Amino acid sequence: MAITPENNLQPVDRNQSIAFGRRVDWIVSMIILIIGIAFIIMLQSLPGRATIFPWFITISIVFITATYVYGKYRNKAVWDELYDPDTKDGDEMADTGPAFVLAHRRGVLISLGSFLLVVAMTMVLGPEYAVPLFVFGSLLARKENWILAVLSGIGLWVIIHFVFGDMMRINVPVGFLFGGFN
Amino acid sequence: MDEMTIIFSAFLNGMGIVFTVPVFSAMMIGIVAGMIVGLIPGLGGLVAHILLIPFALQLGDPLAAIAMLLGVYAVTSQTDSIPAVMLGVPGTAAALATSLDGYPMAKRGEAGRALSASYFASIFGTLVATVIFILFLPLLRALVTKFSSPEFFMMVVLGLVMAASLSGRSQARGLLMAGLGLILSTVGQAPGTGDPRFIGPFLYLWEGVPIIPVLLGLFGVPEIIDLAARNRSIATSAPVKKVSGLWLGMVDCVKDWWLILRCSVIGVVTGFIPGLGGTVAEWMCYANAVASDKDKDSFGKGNVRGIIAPETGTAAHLPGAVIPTVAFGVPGNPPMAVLLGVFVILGVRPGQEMLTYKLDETFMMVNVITVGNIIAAALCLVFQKYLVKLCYVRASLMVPFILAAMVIGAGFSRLSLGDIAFFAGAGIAGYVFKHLDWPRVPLVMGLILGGIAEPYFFASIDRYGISWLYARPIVLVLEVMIIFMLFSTPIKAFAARLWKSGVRSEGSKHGDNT
Repeated sequence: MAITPENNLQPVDRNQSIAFGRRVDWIVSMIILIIGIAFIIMLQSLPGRATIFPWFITISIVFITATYVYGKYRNKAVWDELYDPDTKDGDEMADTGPAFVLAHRRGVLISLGSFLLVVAMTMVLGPEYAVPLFVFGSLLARKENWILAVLSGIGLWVIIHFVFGDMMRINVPVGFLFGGFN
Repeated sequence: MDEMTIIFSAFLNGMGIVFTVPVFSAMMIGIVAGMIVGLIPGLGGLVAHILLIPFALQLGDPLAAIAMLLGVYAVTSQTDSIPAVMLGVPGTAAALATSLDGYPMAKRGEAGRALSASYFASIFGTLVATVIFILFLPLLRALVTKFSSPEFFMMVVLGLVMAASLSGRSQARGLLMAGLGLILSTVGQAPGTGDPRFIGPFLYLWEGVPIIPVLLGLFGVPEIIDLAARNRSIATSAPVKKVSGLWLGMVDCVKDWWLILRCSVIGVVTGFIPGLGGTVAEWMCYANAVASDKDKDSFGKGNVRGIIAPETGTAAHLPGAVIPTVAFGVPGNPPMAVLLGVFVILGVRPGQEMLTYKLDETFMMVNVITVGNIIAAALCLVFQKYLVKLCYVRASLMVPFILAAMVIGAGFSRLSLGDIAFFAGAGIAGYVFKHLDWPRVPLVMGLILGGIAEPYFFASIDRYGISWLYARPIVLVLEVMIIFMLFSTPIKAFAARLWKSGVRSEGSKHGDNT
């Protein structure tokens, strides 16, 4: 999958990128505002002394978010510059912004999917079984050598079970299937 | 005992601790892990640092755990110059300036000279930074004894405001993220009263939001997703084969001692200021080298001073960032914010104690960075040919293993599935934040510093009511600095708008007249 240089983006991609950034920015601001308000509501049921510091923070957060949202509404053009791929640094190894997302959409979705898969597997099976299975499956799916995949899976299980569990006596969490969270 | 005698004896004791078996072995594990993970395409030192935390905490020895993490911290600035010089690809943003002159030198057949200049500049940078630390310690110790809860609280606020204002392109976003971190830090038992706050039916949250899964998610997951999405190594061209002139690089460093001294001071100062970090130190030093050189055109074409300056700055900023972290509990850069989180978990309390009763331990930290740098330079000189091969490893092979290490590390935090849930949430949030320029460092700093600030806040109110806000001179100075940091950006923007509109109206008047 080739990387699309940001200055080669089509105008439609650029506009799409700006619109996407603008939309997500609104959502993030609103989430922070809602968290601030929710914490203020939850503060009502707490004893006074425990609430002094959280009051100070939540009020500040609500104030700053409101100012930020108002500023965005008033100066749309200024804020749009932040989402414009053309105004971003072309540094590939740093935070690359929406242009990168557009150029790698498929790869990103697959990677996000694998990430969520390993999390879900860990919740159900616990790291001891989920992690070796995930590594084995991922290596096979990425068309790596199957012997390497099998050895990696077994090796990881040995490390988690014997090195962490038996030798270092770490109580590795177990998944729902084996009574985790009970 | 005289002040300097106390300091030197603490320095020697600190060095002694570095060479004890548990601390030295932990540091070596950190160095080797840092060299390997730090070189993996697209990951870098911060991820290596965070990945090792859960394993470091299992060591059971706080000093060994800190040494392991500082070992990682010390080597990244060394290893990132290998791909920068040999391949022309900076593995991290902090090695960008090095690649500007390093790669042209390598193409000229002077890769060895460029690399050894970079290693020795790093060593000299940390050594000079250590000397600066020793020289300023009496002043720092005198200052910190004047500090009480109100001053420490205001220092934490100042650190947060600085990090929020300096990281990322929007101050408002930085402040919001810092605020979000602070809100999250209030989840769990309230310090001073013990009342549970915002935990709902989840007893897991009694101890607060888990720091390690959040760190792994926020900083590790986005890098892994991007690495997997690119599915390629950072290296696309073959490495430069001829590595000669190793000795010359050291001679260059000795010859340019004045540049090294200047860049070390810049590095220490940028390390001291929260939110600036190694990249700023690097570019400031590079600019200084260019400005002070008669042959300005040679920069970017293979001038060795273009390597010495940034490498000295990035290396000197490492011990520089330790100073505010241990003295005031205000981290100078993201890895130090992470280390402060580890301090909290290990029960190490930054502040006056670290510069008085525990000065040996503070010196151990500074010395680990210096010794780690020297060892890393030696290892890089010997193994650079093999290390560069890591840049060719395919992402498809790396990603499952790194993700597996992250999941295991996250699960080790409180040994509960709740850790995995936080890891997942932080991972998704981190990816969104990274790609939409919402800075993640202030969020983490808020989460960690909130737990440190609240007890100071309580103690200040209990002891002084609200009079501490206006009756204590140091607090007043800190308040002025906070107000300046908060309002300098909007004032500058407002002034720029006024200036622009003034110029426009002048222009239109001029146009009317003609």
